Amino acid sequence: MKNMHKKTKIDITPKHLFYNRRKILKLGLALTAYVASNSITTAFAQEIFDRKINSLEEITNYNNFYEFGIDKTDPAKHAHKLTTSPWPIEISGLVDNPGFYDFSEISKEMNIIQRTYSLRCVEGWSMLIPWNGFQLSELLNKLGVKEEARYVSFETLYRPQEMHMQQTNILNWPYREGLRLDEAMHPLTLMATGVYGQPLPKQNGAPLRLVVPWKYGFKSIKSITKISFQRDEPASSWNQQNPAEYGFYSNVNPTVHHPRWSQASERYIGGEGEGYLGNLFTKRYDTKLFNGYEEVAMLYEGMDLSQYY
Amino acid sequence: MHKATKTLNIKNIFDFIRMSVRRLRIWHIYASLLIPLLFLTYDLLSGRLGIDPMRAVEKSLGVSAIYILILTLCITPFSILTGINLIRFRRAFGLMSFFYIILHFSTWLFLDMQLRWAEIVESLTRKPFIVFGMMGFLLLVPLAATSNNYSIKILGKYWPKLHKLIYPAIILGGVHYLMMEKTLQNDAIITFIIIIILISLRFFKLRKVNWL
Repeated sequence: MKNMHKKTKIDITPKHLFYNRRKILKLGLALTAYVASNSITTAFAQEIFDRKINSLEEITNYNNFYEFGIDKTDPAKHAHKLTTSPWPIEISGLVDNPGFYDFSEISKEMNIIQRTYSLRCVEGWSMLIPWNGFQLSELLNKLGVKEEARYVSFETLYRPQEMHMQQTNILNWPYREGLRLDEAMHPLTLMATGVYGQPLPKQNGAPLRLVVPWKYGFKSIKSITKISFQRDEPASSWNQQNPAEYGFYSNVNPTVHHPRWSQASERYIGGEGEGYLGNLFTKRYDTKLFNGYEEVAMLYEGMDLSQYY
Repeated sequence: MHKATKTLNIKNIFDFIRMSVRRLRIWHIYASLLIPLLFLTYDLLSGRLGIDPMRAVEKSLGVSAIYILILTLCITPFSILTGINLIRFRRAFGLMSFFYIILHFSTWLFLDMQLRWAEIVESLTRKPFIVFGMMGFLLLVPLAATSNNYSIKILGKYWPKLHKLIYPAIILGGVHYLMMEKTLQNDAIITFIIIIILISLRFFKLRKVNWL
């Protein structure tokens, strides 16, 4: 990539820490140290002390990835059909360096970091997931976003022969999502390239997905092949499908009523007890404004969040 | 040995079914309608329900309830069309469906909503998906309560009228199923079509078909 500086410092917490649930405190300390060194507020690290991080088994067997089926067990069954290499990503619109870049080319230029975020689904459940990836702001800075750009839009791969649900019209394919540029530039906004220090499993959106922890999970678009910068608010798939239920912003907000699911609380999947029977009693937690990531509130100052939901 | 010459034809099949039905006791129906619950319990205890067993249990109980209710609706047209009278089993189907609905509702109340009353009230008043399911459930309460010989005697000609509430109840259940996910799912669409067909049958004067 033309304007990219080589950054070699890779900051991944060692794998063995993740596999031992008993060592959460140690992991928490490692993350806190990381957080302090990067002067990012500690909301996401704080979560670790309240809840158990979800296991790789849980993270890879409970997914909403409608390209592979509606049931949460479908992506684990069907995502293996996806070819993720090569993976060209088209950069277009109001940007200094448009063009096609391969995922491998981008990821090796980026400063890979570790972030454990709560993922809050609009369906009223959540998980705590240790991502690795890079800050979206780092990519945007290297691409050189033009001043007129106010929004960034993303598109998932469109390949119906590998993603069989794209042969149906349950959604207006390909899946699209977007962010306001200041949201995209926020240091919490992550482009995930993996979980638990490994490359991203296909059912989680390989090879590259967005993670915006203060928004409902469907904003965190998976398997991205197009990124474009524009002046106007981009379309987003769920908003197109059902605008009354899913707004462009979709910030986690317990006070904004949703016609289908309660947003006042969330079931923490796999977070309670041990074994199959233990998981029958997944506890509900109060949902927090912006999913607890209060530092993003300044992005929405003066906005009526019940109108811009 | 002349029995060996008996050929397999529709009349023989019907005779066989009629004979089996005659042997069938009502408790056989109650017992066999517990099989879905047994399978569910086995799946739960052996870890076959995946990462979120609560949701799987909740859904499975609801689907069992609606399919047993569908079977309940099948009994009358089946009896008329075949001449094989199953009416005496209908109460068992209806009550077992209600039993699964109670389990489904209890799972929602205790394991899903965890008795968070503010959210339960909000769901029951402002979320159509929940409101439809709950309305269907409430419509079935008087039906379950009057599914006994005493009520039939007391209510007289009003009993069949009251029990017509099964039609709006099952439609509400079908809509509840349709609205469960962010998008329509095939299972729920197929279920809804079956419900509509069964209800449409009520608008036709059915007669015994000569199958021979």
